[in-house]
Amino acid sequence: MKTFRREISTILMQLRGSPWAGHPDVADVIEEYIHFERSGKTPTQSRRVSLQIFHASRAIDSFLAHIVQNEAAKPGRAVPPAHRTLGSSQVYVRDNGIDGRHFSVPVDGDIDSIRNDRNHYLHRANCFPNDGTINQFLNRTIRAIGEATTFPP
Amino acid sequence: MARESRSAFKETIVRGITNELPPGSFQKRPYFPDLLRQPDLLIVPEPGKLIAIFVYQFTRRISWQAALASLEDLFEMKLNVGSHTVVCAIVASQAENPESEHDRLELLRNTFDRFVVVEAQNEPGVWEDLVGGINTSVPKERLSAFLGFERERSQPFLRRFEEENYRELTVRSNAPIFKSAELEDSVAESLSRLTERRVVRHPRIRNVKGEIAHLPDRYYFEFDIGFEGRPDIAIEVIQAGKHGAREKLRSLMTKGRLLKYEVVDNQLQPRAWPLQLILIIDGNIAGPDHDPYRYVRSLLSVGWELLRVGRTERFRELIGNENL
Repeated sequence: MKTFRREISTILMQLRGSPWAGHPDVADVIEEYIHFERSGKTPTQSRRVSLQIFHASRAIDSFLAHIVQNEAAKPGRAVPPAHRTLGSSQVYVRDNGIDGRHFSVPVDGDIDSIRNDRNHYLHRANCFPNDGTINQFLNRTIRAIGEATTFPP
Repeated sequence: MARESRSAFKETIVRGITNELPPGSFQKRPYFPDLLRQPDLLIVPEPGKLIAIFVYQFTRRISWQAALASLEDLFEMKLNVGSHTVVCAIVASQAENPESEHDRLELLRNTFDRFVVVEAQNEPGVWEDLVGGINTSVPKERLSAFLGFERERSQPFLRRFEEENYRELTVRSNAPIFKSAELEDSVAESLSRLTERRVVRHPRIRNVKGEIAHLPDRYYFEFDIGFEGRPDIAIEVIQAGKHGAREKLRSLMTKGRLLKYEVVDNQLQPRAWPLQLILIIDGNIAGPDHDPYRYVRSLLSVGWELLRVGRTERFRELIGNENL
Protein backbone atom coordinates (compact mmCIF):
# COMPACT_ATOMS: atom_id res chain seq x y z
CA MET A 1 0.00 0.00 0.00
CA LYS A 2 1.46 3.33 -1.05
CA THR A 3 0.51 6.40 0.97
CA PHE A 4 2.57 8.99 -0.98
CA ARG A 5 3.60 10.52 2.30
CA ARG A 6 6.99 11.64 1.05
CA GLU A 7 5.52 13.25 -2.09
CA ILE A 8 2.80 15.06 -0.14
CA SER A 9 5.25 16.29 2.51
CA THR A 10 7.34 17.81 -0.28
CA ILE A 11 4.34 19.56 -1.82
CA LEU A 12 3.45 20.94 1.60
CA MET A 13 7.01 22.22 2.14
CA GLN A 14 7.04 23.71 -1.34
CA LEU A 15 3.74 25.54 -0.81
CA ARG A 16 4.66 26.76 2.68
CA GLY A 17 8.03 27.97 1.43
CA SER A 18 6.72 29.65 -1.72
CA PRO A 19 5.96 33.36 -2.15
CA TRP A 20 2.29 32.34 -2.33
CA ALA A 21 2.31 30.98 1.23
CA GLY A 22 0.76 34.08 2.81
CA HIS A 23 -2.34 34.05 0.59
CA PRO A 24 -5.45 32.83 2.49
CA ASP A 25 -6.66 30.73 -0.48
CA VAL A 26 -3.31 28.92 -0.50
CA ALA A 27 -3.78 28.06 3.17
CA ASP A 28 -6.87 26.12 2.05
CA VAL A 29 -4.80 24.30 -0.57
CA ILE A 30 -2.30 23.38 2.14
CA GLU A 31 -5.17 22.04 4.29
CA GLU A 32 -6.41 20.02 1.33
CA TYR A 33 -3.03 18.32 1.02
CA ILE A 34 -3.12 17.56 4.75
CA HIS A 35 -6.45 15.80 4.11
CA PHE A 36 -4.75 13.92 1.26
CA GLU A 37 -1.95 12.84 3.58
CA ARG A 38 -4.49 11.53 6.10
CA SER A 39 -6.42 9.69 3.40
CA GLY A 40 -3.40 7.38 3.09
CA LYS A 41 -4.57 5.73 6.31
CA THR A 42 -7.82 4.53 4.69
CA PRO A 43 -7.33 0.76 4.55
CA THR A 44 -9.60 -0.11 1.61
CA GLN A 45 -7.82 0.42 -1.70
CA SER A 46 -10.87 1.63 -3.67
CA ARG A 47 -11.85 4.13 -0.96
CA ARG A 48 -8.29 5.30 -0.49
CA VAL A 49 -7.63 6.03 -4.17
CA SER A 50 -11.03 7.71 -4.56
CA LEU A 51 -10.11 10.05 -1.74
CA GLN A 52 -6.62 10.62 -3.10
CA ILE A 53 -7.97 11.63 -6.52
CA PHE A 54 -10.60 13.79 -4.84
CA HIS A 55 -8.13 15.70 -2.64
CA ALA A 56 -5.39 16.03 -5.28
CA SER A 57 -7.95 17.32 -7.79
CA ARG A 58 -9.45 19.89 -5.44
CA ALA A 59 -5.99 21.07 -4.44
CA ILE A 60 -4.67 21.64 -7.94
CA ASP A 61 -7.94 23.15 -9.21
CA SER A 62 -8.03 25.57 -6.29
CA PHE A 63 -4.36 26.53 -6.48
CA LEU A 64 -4.39 27.27 -10.21
CA ALA A 65 -7.71 29.10 -9.90
CA HIS A 66 -6.20 31.26 -7.15
CA ILE A 67 -3.13 32.06 -9.24
CA VAL A 68 -5.35 33.06 -12.15
CA GLN A 69 -7.67 35.17 -9.98
CA ASN A 70 -4.64 36.87 -8.42
CA GLU A 71 -3.21 37.66 -11.85
CA ALA A 72 -6.53 38.87 -13.26
CA ALA A 73 -6.89 41.26 -10.32
CA LYS A 74 -3.77 43.17 -11.40
CA PRO A 75 -4.40 46.33 -13.43
CA GLY A 76 -4.54 45.83 -17.18
CA ARG A 77 -4.73 42.03 -17.06
CA ALA A 78 -7.28 39.88 -18.91
CA VAL A 79 -10.54 39.17 -17.07
CA PRO A 80 -10.61 35.87 -15.17
CA PRO A 81 -12.46 32.87 -16.59
CA ALA A 82 -16.08 32.34 -15.55
CA HIS A 83 -15.30 28.96 -13.92
CA ARG A 84 -12.65 27.91 -11.42
CA THR A 85 -11.97 24.63 -13.18
CA LEU A 86 -8.57 23.22 -14.09
CA GLY A 87 -9.25 23.60 -17.82
CA SER A 88 -10.30 27.25 -17.50
CA SER A 89 -7.21 28.11 -15.47
CA GLN A 90 -4.96 26.26 -17.92
CA VAL A 91 -6.43 28.15 -20.88
CA TYR A 92 -6.02 31.47 -19.06
CA VAL A 93 -2.34 30.78 -18.34
CA ARG A 94 -1.80 29.58 -21.91
CA ASP A 95 -3.41 32.70 -23.41
CA ASN A 96 -2.31 35.37 -20.97
CA GLY A 97 0.50 34.02 -18.84
CA ILE A 98 1.17 34.83 -15.19
CA ASP A 99 3.43 37.86 -15.04
CA GLY A 100 4.66 36.89 -18.51
CA ARG A 101 5.33 33.26 -17.57
CA HIS A 102 3.61 30.18 -18.99
CA PHE A 103 3.52 26.49 -18.16
CA SER A 104 6.32 24.55 -19.82
CA VAL A 105 5.39 22.20 -22.65
CA PRO A 106 5.56 19.01 -20.53
CA VAL A 107 3.60 20.52 -17.64
CA ASP A 108 0.92 21.81 -20.00
CA GLY A 109 0.69 18.21 -21.26
CA ASP A 110 0.61 16.97 -17.66
CA ILE A 111 -2.41 19.18 -16.94
CA ASP A 112 -4.20 17.72 -19.97
CA SER A 113 -3.44 14.23 -18.65
CA ILE A 114 -4.60 15.07 -15.12
CA ARG A 115 -7.94 16.22 -16.50
CA ASN A 116 -8.33 13.20 -18.79
CA ASP A 117 -7.26 10.67 -16.15
CA ARG A 118 -9.58 11.88 -13.48
CA ASN A 119 -12.50 12.19 -15.89
CA HIS A 120 -11.83 8.60 -16.84
CA TYR A 121 -12.19 7.40 -13.24
CA LEU A 122 -14.88 9.85 -12.16
CA HIS A 123 -17.27 8.90 -14.92
CA ARG A 124 -16.88 5.11 -15.07
CA ALA A 125 -18.66 2.98 -12.46
CA ASN A 126 -16.56 0.56 -10.41
CA CYS A 127 -13.34 1.66 -12.07
CA PHE A 128 -10.36 2.46 -9.81
CA PRO A 129 -6.76 3.25 -10.64
CA ASN A 130 -3.96 1.11 -9.20
CA ASP A 131 -1.06 2.55 -7.18
CA GLY A 132 1.05 2.95 -10.34
CA THR A 133 -1.58 5.09 -12.04
CA ILE A 134 -2.12 7.11 -8.89
CA ASN A 135 1.64 7.58 -8.63
CA GLN A 136 1.76 8.92 -12.19
CA PHE A 137 -1.30 11.11 -11.55
CA LEU A 138 0.22 12.48 -8.39
CA ASN A 139 3.58 13.12 -10.02
CA ARG A 140 1.83 15.16 -12.66
CA THR A 141 -0.03 17.21 -10.08
CA ILE A 142 3.24 17.75 -8.18
CA ARG A 143 4.95 18.96 -11.34
CA ALA A 144 2.07 21.30 -12.16
CA ILE A 145 1.78 22.67 -8.62
CA GLY A 146 5.57 22.96 -8.44
CA GLU A 147 5.78 24.95 -11.64
CA ALA A 148 2.83 27.13 -10.62
CA THR A 149 4.59 28.07 -7.36
CA THR A 150 7.50 29.43 -9.43
CA PHE A 151 5.17 32.05 -10.96
CA PRO A 152 5.58 35.36 -9.15
CA PRO A 153 2.47 36.43 -7.17
CA MET B 1 35.27 6.30 -0.42
CA ALA B 2 32.81 3.55 0.44
CA ARG B 3 29.12 4.18 -0.13
CA GLU B 4 28.41 3.43 3.57
CA SER B 5 30.86 6.05 4.73
CA ARG B 6 29.37 8.66 2.36
CA SER B 7 25.88 7.93 3.57
CA ALA B 8 27.02 8.01 7.22
CA PHE B 9 28.52 11.45 6.63
CA LYS B 10 25.26 12.69 5.11
CA GLU B 11 23.27 11.31 7.99
CA THR B 12 25.53 13.00 10.51
CA ILE B 13 25.18 16.35 8.77
CA VAL B 14 21.41 16.07 8.32
CA ARG B 15 20.92 14.93 11.92
CA GLY B 16 23.15 17.69 13.25
CA ILE B 17 21.11 20.32 11.40
CA THR B 18 17.65 18.92 12.11
CA ASN B 19 18.41 18.65 15.85
CA GLU B 20 18.56 22.44 15.82
CA LEU B 21 15.25 22.90 13.98
CA PRO B 22 11.68 22.94 15.29
CA PRO B 23 9.68 19.81 14.32
CA GLY B 24 7.57 20.28 11.21
CA SER B 25 9.88 22.90 9.73
CA PHE B 26 11.96 20.45 7.70
CA GLN B 27 11.75 17.35 5.54
CA LYS B 28 14.53 14.82 5.14
CA ARG B 29 14.84 13.20 1.71
CA PRO B 30 12.14 15.21 -0.09
CA TYR B 31 10.84 14.18 -3.49
CA PHE B 32 10.55 16.44 -6.53
CA PRO B 33 9.59 14.43 -9.64
CA ASP B 34 11.82 16.25 -12.13
CA LEU B 35 15.08 16.54 -10.21
CA LEU B 36 17.90 14.24 -11.22
CA ARG B 37 19.20 14.35 -7.66
CA GLN B 38 17.02 15.13 -4.67
CA PRO B 39 18.21 17.52 -1.97
CA ASP B 40 19.10 15.87 1.33
CA LEU B 41 17.03 18.28 3.36
CA LEU B 42 14.32 20.93 2.89
CA ILE B 43 13.72 23.60 5.49
CA VAL B 44 10.95 26.18 5.76
CA PRO B 45 12.21 28.45 8.58
CA GLU B 46 9.27 30.81 8.08
CA PRO B 47 6.31 30.95 5.65
CA GLY B 48 7.50 32.01 2.20
CA LYS B 49 11.10 30.90 2.66
CA LEU B 50 12.34 27.58 1.28
CA ILE B 51 15.85 26.25 1.81
CA ALA B 52 17.24 23.17 0.05
CA ILE B 53 20.41 21.53 1.31
CA PHE B 54 22.67 19.26 -0.71
CA VAL B 55 25.37 17.38 1.18
CA TYR B 56 28.38 16.35 -0.88
CA GLN B 57 31.09 13.96 0.14
CA PHE B 58 33.38 13.80 -2.84
CA THR B 59 35.71 10.88 -3.24
CA ARG B 60 39.47 11.40 -2.94
CA ARG B 61 39.39 14.29 -5.35
CA ILE B 62 36.73 16.55 -6.80
CA SER B 63 36.51 15.83 -10.50
CA TRP B 64 35.07 18.35 -12.94
CA GLN B 65 32.31 15.85 -13.62
CA ALA B 66 31.34 15.83 -9.94
CA ALA B 67 31.54 19.63 -9.68
CA LEU B 68 29.38 20.12 -12.78
CA ALA B 69 26.88 17.52 -11.53
CA SER B 70 26.61 19.46 -8.25
CA LEU B 71 26.11 22.69 -10.17
CA GLU B 72 23.26 21.00 -12.04
CA ASP B 73 21.57 20.32 -8.67
CA LEU B 74 21.58 24.06 -8.05
CA PHE B 75 20.24 24.91 -11.52
CA GLU B 76 17.46 22.33 -11.27
CA MET B 77 16.32 23.53 -7.85
CA LYS B 78 16.19 27.11 -9.10
CA LEU B 79 14.43 26.24 -12.35
CA ASN B 80 12.03 23.55 -11.10
CA VAL B 81 11.26 24.70 -7.57
CA GLY B 82 11.72 28.43 -8.02
CA SER B 83 14.41 31.07 -7.97
CA HIS B 84 13.18 32.09 -4.49
CA THR B 85 14.64 28.81 -3.15
CA VAL B 86 17.84 29.22 -1.15
CA VAL B 87 20.14 26.40 -2.28
CA CYS B 88 22.99 25.40 0.02
CA ALA B 89 25.88 23.01 -0.54
CA ILE B 90 27.61 21.40 2.42
CA VAL B 91 30.88 19.75 1.52
CA ALA B 92 33.01 17.48 3.68
CA SER B 93 36.42 18.89 4.29
CA GLN B 94 39.09 16.94 2.41
CA ALA B 95 42.31 16.03 4.17
CA GLU B 96 44.09 17.98 1.50
CA ASN B 97 42.60 19.86 -1.39
CA PRO B 98 45.23 20.00 -4.07
CA GLU B 99 45.66 23.30 -5.86
CA SER B 100 44.20 21.74 -9.01
CA GLU B 101 40.82 21.40 -7.28
CA HIS B 102 40.70 25.00 -6.13
CA ASP B 103 38.66 26.23 -9.10
CA ARG B 104 36.13 23.40 -8.71
CA LEU B 105 35.47 24.41 -5.12
CA GLU B 106 35.33 28.09 -6.15
CA LEU B 107 32.81 27.20 -8.86
CA LEU B 108 30.48 25.84 -6.18
CA ARG B 109 31.28 28.53 -3.61
CA ASN B 110 30.48 31.31 -6.07
CA THR B 111 27.26 29.86 -7.42
CA PHE B 112 25.41 28.20 -4.50
CA ASP B 113 23.52 30.61 -2.27
CA ARG B 114 25.49 29.24 0.64
CA PHE B 115 28.54 27.03 0.48
CA VAL B 116 29.94 25.49 3.63
CA VAL B 117 32.92 23.24 4.11
CA VAL B 118 32.35 21.25 7.27
CA GLU B 119 35.56 20.65 9.15
CA ALA B 120 35.06 19.76 12.80
CA GLN B 121 31.63 18.30 13.46
CA ASN B 122 32.12 17.73 17.15
CA GLU B 123 33.07 21.19 18.30
CA PRO B 124 30.47 22.79 20.57
CA GLY B 125 28.10 25.18 18.80
CA VAL B 126 29.06 24.05 15.30
CA TRP B 127 25.52 22.99 14.36
CA GLU B 128 23.91 26.06 15.87
CA ASP B 129 26.24 28.30 13.85
CA LEU B 130 25.67 26.28 10.70
CA VAL B 131 21.87 26.42 11.02
CA GLY B 132 21.98 30.13 11.92
CA GLY B 133 23.99 30.82 8.77
CA ILE B 134 21.75 28.71 6.56
CA ASN B 135 18.52 30.23 7.89
CA THR B 136 19.71 33.77 7.20
CA SER B 137 20.95 33.03 3.67
CA VAL B 138 19.21 34.66 0.73
CA PRO B 139 19.18 33.74 -2.98
CA LYS B 140 22.11 35.20 -4.92
CA GLU B 141 21.19 37.47 -7.82
CA ARG B 142 24.25 36.52 -9.84
CA LEU B 143 22.59 33.71 -11.78
CA SER B 144 19.31 35.52 -12.54
CA ALA B 145 20.08 36.35 -16.18
CA PHE B 146 21.39 32.87 -16.87
CA LEU B 147 18.39 31.17 -15.24
CA GLY B 148 15.97 33.48 -17.07
CA PHE B 149 17.52 32.48 -20.41
CA GLU B 150 17.50 28.80 -19.45
CA ARG B 151 13.83 28.88 -18.49
CA GLU B 152 12.91 30.47 -21.78
CA ARG B 153 15.19 28.44 -24.03
CA SER B 154 14.17 25.02 -22.74
CA GLN B 155 10.71 25.37 -24.31
CA PRO B 156 11.61 25.06 -28.01
CA PHE B 157 13.93 22.17 -27.16
CA LEU B 158 11.17 20.36 -25.29
CA ARG B 159 8.79 20.68 -28.23
CA ARG B 160 10.99 18.15 -30.05
CA PHE B 161 10.05 15.49 -27.52
CA GLU B 162 8.04 12.67 -29.03
CA GLU B 163 7.98 9.38 -27.19
CA GLU B 164 8.35 7.14 -30.25
CA ASN B 165 11.67 8.76 -31.21
CA TYR B 166 13.24 7.89 -27.86
CA ARG B 167 11.42 4.71 -26.81
CA GLU B 168 14.45 2.44 -27.29
CA LEU B 169 16.48 4.57 -24.90
CA THR B 170 14.03 3.87 -22.10
CA VAL B 171 13.99 0.08 -22.40
CA ARG B 172 15.81 -1.30 -19.37
CA SER B 173 16.74 -4.53 -21.11
CA ASN B 174 18.76 -2.56 -23.69
CA ALA B 175 22.15 -3.13 -22.07
CA PRO B 176 25.41 -1.69 -23.44
CA ILE B 177 26.64 -3.68 -26.44
CA PHE B 178 30.24 -2.43 -26.70
CA LYS B 179 33.21 -2.94 -24.42
CA SER B 180 33.82 0.48 -22.90
CA ALA B 181 37.37 0.71 -24.31
CA GLU B 182 36.08 0.14 -27.85
CA LEU B 183 32.95 2.26 -27.79
CA GLU B 184 34.33 5.67 -28.74
CA ASP B 185 36.55 4.34 -31.56
CA SER B 186 33.76 2.28 -32.96
CA VAL B 187 31.27 5.19 -32.97
CA ALA B 188 33.86 7.55 -34.48
CA GLU B 189 34.55 5.11 -37.27
CA SER B 190 30.91 4.50 -38.04
CA LEU B 191 30.08 8.24 -38.05
CA SER B 192 32.98 8.94 -40.37
CA ARG B 193 31.74 6.26 -42.75
CA LEU B 194 28.14 7.42 -42.51
CA THR B 195 28.86 11.09 -43.13
CA GLU B 196 31.91 10.74 -45.36
CA ARG B 197 33.52 13.38 -43.19
CA ARG B 198 36.76 13.26 -41.29
CA VAL B 199 36.19 13.05 -37.53
CA VAL B 200 38.12 15.10 -34.98
CA ARG B 201 38.80 13.43 -31.66
CA HIS B 202 38.35 15.34 -28.41
CA PRO B 203 37.46 18.79 -29.77
CA ARG B 204 37.27 21.56 -27.17
CA ILE B 205 34.61 24.27 -27.06
CA ARG B 206 34.67 27.44 -24.98
CA ASN B 207 32.02 27.70 -22.25
CA VAL B 208 30.85 30.41 -19.85
CA LYS B 209 31.62 28.54 -16.63
CA GLY B 210 34.28 31.06 -15.65
CA GLU B 211 32.05 34.07 -16.26
CA ILE B 212 29.05 32.62 -14.44
CA ALA B 213 31.07 31.67 -11.39
CA HIS B 214 33.49 34.61 -11.49
CA LEU B 215 36.51 32.40 -11.98
CA PRO B 216 39.68 33.93 -13.40
CA ASP B 217 40.32 31.47 -16.23
CA ARG B 218 38.74 30.75 -19.61
CA TYR B 219 37.21 27.29 -19.69
CA TYR B 220 36.60 24.75 -22.41
CA PHE B 221 34.56 21.54 -22.50
CA GLU B 222 36.06 18.56 -24.22
CA PHE B 223 33.86 16.31 -26.35
CA ASP B 224 34.48 12.80 -27.62
CA ILE B 225 33.96 13.46 -31.32
CA GLY B 226 33.62 16.38 -33.73
CA PHE B 227 33.90 16.86 -37.49
CA GLU B 228 36.51 18.65 -39.48
CA GLY B 229 35.01 21.85 -40.87
CA ARG B 230 31.95 21.63 -38.61
CA PRO B 231 32.88 23.28 -35.30
CA ASP B 232 29.16 23.60 -34.58
CA ILE B 233 28.77 19.87 -33.97
CA ALA B 234 29.88 18.24 -30.73
CA ILE B 235 29.30 14.61 -29.86
CA GLU B 236 29.50 12.75 -26.57
CA VAL B 237 29.36 8.99 -26.36
CA ILE B 238 28.31 7.33 -23.11
CA GLN B 239 27.52 3.93 -21.71
CA ALA B 240 24.57 3.73 -19.39
CA GLY B 241 22.40 0.97 -18.08
CA LYS B 242 21.99 -1.20 -15.08
CA HIS B 243 24.23 0.74 -12.75
CA GLY B 244 23.03 4.09 -14.02
CA ALA B 245 25.10 7.08 -14.99
CA ARG B 246 23.36 9.75 -13.02
CA GLU B 247 26.42 11.82 -12.15
CA LYS B 248 27.46 11.74 -15.80
CA LEU B 249 23.95 12.73 -16.92
CA ARG B 250 23.84 15.60 -14.42
CA SER B 251 27.19 16.88 -15.62
CA LEU B 252 26.01 16.61 -19.25
CA MET B 253 23.01 18.75 -18.31
CA THR B 254 25.31 21.51 -17.08
CA LYS B 255 27.51 21.10 -20.11
CA GLY B 256 24.50 21.61 -22.38
CA ARG B 257 23.40 24.67 -20.44
CA LEU B 258 26.76 26.40 -20.28
CA LEU B 259 27.44 25.95 -23.99
CA LYS B 260 24.38 27.86 -25.10
CA TYR B 261 25.78 31.25 -24.18
CA GLU B 262 28.67 33.58 -24.71
CA VAL B 263 29.73 36.75 -22.97
CA VAL B 264 29.89 39.88 -25.10
CA ASP B 265 30.74 43.24 -23.49
CA ASN B 266 30.39 41.63 -20.08
CA GLN B 267 26.82 40.59 -20.90
CA LEU B 268 25.67 36.99 -21.04
CA GLN B 269 23.81 36.28 -24.27
CA PRO B 270 22.80 33.30 -26.39
CA ARG B 271 25.52 32.14 -28.80
CA ALA B 272 25.50 33.83 -32.18
CA TRP B 273 25.90 30.38 -33.82
CA PRO B 274 24.17 27.64 -31.86
CA LEU B 275 25.90 24.32 -31.32
CA GLN B 276 24.43 20.95 -32.20
CA LEU B 277 25.03 18.75 -29.20
CA ILE B 278 24.54 15.07 -29.87
CA LEU B 279 24.66 12.36 -27.23
CA ILE B 280 25.11 8.82 -28.46
CA ILE B 281 24.07 6.28 -25.85
CA ASP B 282 25.17 2.67 -25.60
CA GLY B 283 22.61 1.06 -23.31
CA ASN B 284 19.61 2.90 -21.91
CA ILE B 285 18.71 5.93 -19.82
CA ALA B 286 15.36 4.69 -18.54
CA GLY B 287 13.86 6.73 -15.73
CA PRO B 288 11.73 5.31 -12.91
CA ASP B 289 8.71 3.17 -13.85
CA HIS B 290 6.22 5.99 -13.40
CA ASP B 291 8.31 8.34 -15.57
CA PRO B 292 10.57 6.37 -17.93
CA TYR B 293 11.32 9.42 -20.10
CA ARG B 294 12.60 11.56 -17.23
CA TYR B 295 16.24 11.60 -18.34
CA VAL B 296 15.35 11.85 -22.01
CA ARG B 297 13.19 14.92 -21.34
CA SER B 298 15.84 16.51 -19.14
CA LEU B 299 18.64 16.12 -21.65
CA LEU B 300 16.46 17.36 -24.51
CA SER B 301 15.45 20.39 -22.47
CA VAL B 302 19.03 21.68 -22.32
CA GLY B 303 19.72 21.15 -26.00
CA TRP B 304 21.05 17.61 -26.42
CA GLU B 305 19.79 15.44 -29.25
CA LEU B 306 19.83 11.76 -28.29
CA LEU B 307 20.65 8.75 -30.43
CA ARG B 308 21.09 5.14 -29.52
CA VAL B 309 24.35 3.58 -30.61
CA GLY B 310 23.82 1.47 -33.71
CA ARG B 311 20.73 3.53 -34.59
CA THR B 312 22.49 6.46 -36.13
CA GLU B 313 20.34 6.61 -39.30
CA ARG B 314 18.98 9.95 -38.11
CA PHE B 315 22.47 11.32 -37.72
CA ARG B 316 22.92 12.60 -41.26
CA GLU B 317 19.54 14.27 -41.07
CA LEU B 318 20.54 15.94 -37.79
CA ILE B 319 23.85 17.34 -38.93
CA GLY B 320 22.41 18.46 -42.24
CA ASN B 321 20.00 20.71 -40.38
CA GLU B 322 21.94 23.59 -38.96
CA ASN B 323 18.91 24.90 -37.12
CA LEU B 324 18.46 21.76 -35.04
